Order: sequence, then structure tokens, then C-alpha cells
Amino acid sequence: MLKIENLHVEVDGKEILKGLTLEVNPGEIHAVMGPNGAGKSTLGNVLAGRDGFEVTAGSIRFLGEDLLTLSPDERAIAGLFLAFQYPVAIPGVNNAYFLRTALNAQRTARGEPELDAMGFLKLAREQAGILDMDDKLLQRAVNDGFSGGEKKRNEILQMAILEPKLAVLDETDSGLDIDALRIVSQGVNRLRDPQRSMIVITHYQRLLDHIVPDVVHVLADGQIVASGDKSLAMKLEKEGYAWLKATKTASEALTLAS
Amino acid sequence: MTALLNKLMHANESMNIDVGVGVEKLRQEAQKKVLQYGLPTLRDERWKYTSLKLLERREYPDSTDFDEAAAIQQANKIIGDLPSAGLVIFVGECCLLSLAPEWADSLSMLLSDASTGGQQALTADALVQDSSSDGFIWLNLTRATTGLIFNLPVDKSIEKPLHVVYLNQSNAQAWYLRHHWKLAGNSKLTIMEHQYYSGAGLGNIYRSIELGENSELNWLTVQQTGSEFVLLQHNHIQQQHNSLCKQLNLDLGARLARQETRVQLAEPEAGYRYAGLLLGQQRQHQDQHVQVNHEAVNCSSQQSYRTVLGGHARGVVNTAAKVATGADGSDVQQNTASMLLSNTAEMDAKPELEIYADEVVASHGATIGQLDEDAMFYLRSRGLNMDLARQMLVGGFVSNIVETIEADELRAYTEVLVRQQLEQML
Ligand SMILES: Nc1ncnc2c1ncn2[C@@H]1O[C@H](COP(=O)(O)OP(=O)(O)OP(=O)(O)O)[C@@H](O)[C@H]1O
Ligand SMILES: [Mg+2]
Repeated sequence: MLKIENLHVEVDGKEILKGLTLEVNPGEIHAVMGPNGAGKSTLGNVLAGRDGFEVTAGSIRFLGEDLLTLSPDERAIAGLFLAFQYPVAIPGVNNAYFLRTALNAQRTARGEPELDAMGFLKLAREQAGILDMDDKLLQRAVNDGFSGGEKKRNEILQMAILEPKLAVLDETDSGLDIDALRIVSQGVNRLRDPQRSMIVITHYQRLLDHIVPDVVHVLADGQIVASGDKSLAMKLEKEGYAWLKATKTASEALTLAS
Repeated sequence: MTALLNKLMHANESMNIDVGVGVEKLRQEAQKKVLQYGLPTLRDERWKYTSLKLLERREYPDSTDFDEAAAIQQANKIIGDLPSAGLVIFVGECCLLSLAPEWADSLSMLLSDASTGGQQALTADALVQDSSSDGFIWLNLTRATTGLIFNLPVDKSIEKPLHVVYLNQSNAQAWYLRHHWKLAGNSKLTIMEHQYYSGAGLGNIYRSIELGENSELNWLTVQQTGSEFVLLQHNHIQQQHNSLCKQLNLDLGARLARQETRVQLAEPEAGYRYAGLLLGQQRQHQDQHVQVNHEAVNCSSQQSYRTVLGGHARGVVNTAAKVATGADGSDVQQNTASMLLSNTAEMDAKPELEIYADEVVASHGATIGQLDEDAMFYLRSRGLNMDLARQMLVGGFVSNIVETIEADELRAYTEVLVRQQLEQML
């Protein structure tokens, strides 16, 4: 599904990702944890194709294609989805209209028939219902004046409707109350599928109780410094990242984690 | 006298319409004013962004005959299936009318029929009573022979809009129109203007508008003239007790379009709402000045603009309000937001507030920005290509202007016009 090798990324001349390697197979859920500023969102942005993130070395292959040659919209059409850490408000643009346009742009590009306004609204209402999201949010401007939690639900709603092959969820749990966390996680779990993979970026082990990952990675200072199963997340929860800093090399950290 | 003024004063003199003695006297007065003030220059505060060089280079030949059937066809095509209580077509300075019966008792006449009504209208003209040092509006009085003049009687309410279509069939000419719209107490009217001039002509339109007690005017203007046309407009609006004027302007076309509106909120509780959209591209220059004078207690005015400029386009928005001593309880709001799509587009937003009363709520804001890159990335990350994403973003930016139109058909109609224009610009 996704194969990242020795990825180096600079932003404004500053190196943020420093040789990141990560492979995600179909149907897998990978959690990425790590201290603030480690480069987690940078990874998400590079995957989605944001301007200003310069890949200076390494490669990313997505479904066998060179992802880095595709524009952001081409990546979405290829099946990539990024749930933003900070979803952007688009004043004046109706949420349902935006989502329908996006869905139909993707369908058209894939040679599938478009969904009409009625059919779309039915689908959107149904999915909003599953996420316990107020219907009214569909008729408001995209993320405009949405509460933190409403924005996060709106991201997951988009994912549910666009049905990507690979979803990167960047701190979708932060800003959600405990009930919302459970509901949104259920929404995410419904989308688990042998053909769909996810990268779940989070600071909290709590989320991983709901969305159980196949692999947990620790991203620190632009590299994956440790990978393991769910117990790695528990360890981080208890001990923080200090023990990582104490270790000198990534391989040392790996040994520690296993 | 400048060369331009000379050209304009003597253009089309062959068309000598008998306007009656009273009107003729007014014109002579106006002519004196024109010579006294001359045409505005960049040194005039209100014209400092608006160069007239273009007009100086042009010639303004005499008028030719016009094809009535073609004009009616063109007008009907513009209006499509919009609801309509009547259609007034101006082809240059010639006028064609087709009105629903409910207008029979209201529409008095056109200016050229000056023996009675035209003269009355002119002498009651705000410009004649008031005074202005802008040569163009005095020039209008010396030249205009046609206009839409009506008195909407007390309690009369006409649901469907009256459409006014502006066309021309000859290429480079100067045309003058002078309207006088009067709404008596408790009356209500919607006017939708469609300006589709073409060629390298000059349009000079003046409107005197009086709103009686509790009356309401919904006035919508779509300015989509050709890319070489110059359109200069002046409006003078006088409002009585508790009257409401809702003006909406869509500036989509013209080489140079300049409109100056003066509003007098003369009696308590009068309200004025202005919503304006400027979409400029290439070398277009669009210029809107609105001056609202709050002269009585508890009046309110709102001015709201959205401007999107690409290419070498230039936009000017001057929102001014003056609250007189004693006009307590006034509520004044102005906001202008502009988006520049190119480095060569230019925007001047000039808010002005002069307040002499004590209890006033006033706010004004002007912002100028570009396409938001974060928003662009967000939209594209969902599968929208560059063009679609831009259209959606800019469409959202301007949406709150068109949304102020209450009538569904009119709103849907204008939404389409705006979307088409944006598709062309982006
Ligand atoms: N435009 C930029 N210019 C300079 N530095 C940047 C820029 N964008 C990001 N960075 C830096 O890159 C580093 C990684 O940022 P990133 O957002 O990827 O961190 P993160 O791991 O997602 O952190 P958090 O957990 O706080 O969300 C940070 O030090 C950040 O300041
Ligand atoms: Mg982050």
C-alpha cells in the first residue's frame, strides 16, 4: 500500500524529516506517536502533497506509484486522505456542497457516475448520523465557526464519504470529549477493511484502546526511532519520551522497545 | 474648457428635441455649472483614482437609427424567465416600454415628453435643489432627453420586479439618461437593472430617487457592459420616515465603471442597505462611492462590499457616512473585503466616518488579501483540481453579497451570473 524509504524533507531550508522509513500493508493500522515538533504532521502534509515541503532525498510509493509526482488532488483521487490536525475554515462555502463536489470530482476522475444532490444528501445524513454529528453542520460553511470537536467529526465524515484507500488521521482525537472519542473511533473502525489502511497520529494511548493498531511507531527528531505493538504505546504513556532521548541511537531504542 | 468637455458638449447636437420652456431654462442653468466646474480631474478627492484619459482619446459621433425588434429580442434574452412586472428598454437614448397593467396609473412619462411630468420631475430633482461640483452630473442635465420617471402611488405594492435594460446598437457614442423614481408612502417596489452596453461608448446615467414614509425599494443592478465601455453614474436618494432602500450592485463588466451614490436619511428610522460586488479583470477599472448622510434620529445604514480583482484590474471602494449633530441612535456599518488574484491588480478601499451625534453605533473594516493557500490545499486534498478549488474559494468569498437578495428567482439568476464571471476570471 505505502512504502516510504529514507525520506528527507525540508521546510524553509530546515530539515524536519531525516531519513524516515515506513511500510504500511493493505488493511493495517499504524499508530504514529512522538513528541511535539517531531515531524508527525510534516509526514502527513508530505503525503498529501502540500507546497513548501521539499523532499530532498528518499521515495514514497503508494499503490505501486511514485506518490511524489502527483498533485494533491491527484493523490486524493488515487485514494489518499489526510484528516487535518487543524481543519481549515472556508467561509461562504456550504459544507454539503463542498463534499459533494469533492466526491463527484473523485468519481468523475475514476470514470464512475456522479451522485446527484438528493442521493448525496441521503448518504451524508446517514454518515453524519453514525458519527452523531448534527445535520445542521452539513448546511453551514465548511468548518466555519465549528467547535474543535465538530471540526474533527467533519474530517471523519469526509473520510467516510470519500472512502479512501489510505487515511492519515492527524490527532483526530485531540479536542474530542470522551463520548465523542468513542463515537468517532467507532466510525473509524467501521471503515476498517482488508483493502484500507490507516496511519493514526496521536499523543494518547487512550485512542488506541478504541482503534487498535497493528503497529505503533515512535517518531522523534524526524525519524522512526522505535516500532512495536500496542505495548509500546503503554510504555510511552507511563514513561513519556524521556527514555528515548536517553538512548543514543535509533537501534538502541528499538532494542529497548522490544 | 477642456478638449473632452468640448467634445461632449457638442456631440450629437443635431438631435434637437423640444423639451419645453421650463426644462430649457434648467438646462441653461446646468450648462453654466458645467462651464463653471469643468470635468473632474485626478486632483478632485473623489476622482483621484479615476483617470479620464481614455475618454479624451475617443470621439463621440452622432447617433444612428435603431432596430426595435432586435432590441426587444436582446432584452428578452437577458431577462429570460425572471418574474416581471414590466420591461423598460433603453437603446442608447431611445426608450421602449412594455408594462403590466398595474403600472398604468403609476408610470408618468419619459423626460422628452416634458410638457408636464418631465418638467415637474426635473424641477423636483435633488440635484437641482442641492448642488454638486461634479461636471458630469450637470452635463447630464444639459443633455439628457430620456429617462424612466414614475410616481408609485400611496400604498401601492408591486411584487414582481420592473426590469430596466440598457443597450446600444451603435458603437462609439455618448448617451445620457436621467431617471426620477418616486415611491409614495407605504409603497413597495423592486427594480432590476441590466446594463449590457457594448463598444467604446460613454454612458452617463443620473437617478433621483425619493422614498416616502414607510416605503421600500429593492433595487438591483447588474452591470455587465462590454470591456471597452465607460459608464458614469450618479444617484441621489432621499429617504423619509421609516423608508427602506436596499441597493445591490454587481459590477461585472466595463472598461471604466464609476458610480457615485448620495443618500440622505432625512427622517427618523430610515434605513439604507448597500451590497456591492466588484469582479474585475484585464484592465477594468471599477469605482464605487457611497456617501450616506444620517440627518435624523434612529436611522441605519449598512454598506458591504466584496471585490475580486485579477489581471491589471483596479477597484476603488469609498464608503462614507456622516452622522449629523442630533442624529442620535444612528447605526452605521461599513465593511469592504477584497481579494487580489494577481500582483498587478490594485485595490483602494477608503472607509470614512464623520460623526457629530452622541449616541451612535458605528463600525467599519476593510481587508485586502489573496487566495488563502491553506484553504486551497485543504480543498485540493479532497480531490478538487486547481481551477475548481479556486472557483469554490472565491465563490465562497463573494457569496454573502448575493445572499442578501431575498427573492429566490432573482438570487438564483445572479448567482449564475457571478459563477460564470468567476469561471471566466479564474
Ligand atoms: N513552515 C515552517 N518553517 C519552519 N519550521 C517549520 C515549518 N513548519 C513546520 N516546522 C517545524 O517542523 C517541526 C515539525 O513540525 P510538525 O508539525 O511536523 O510536528 P508534529 O510532530 O506534528 O508536532 P505536534 O505533536 O505538536 O503536532 C517543528 O519544529 C516545526 O516548528
Ligand atoms: Mg502535528
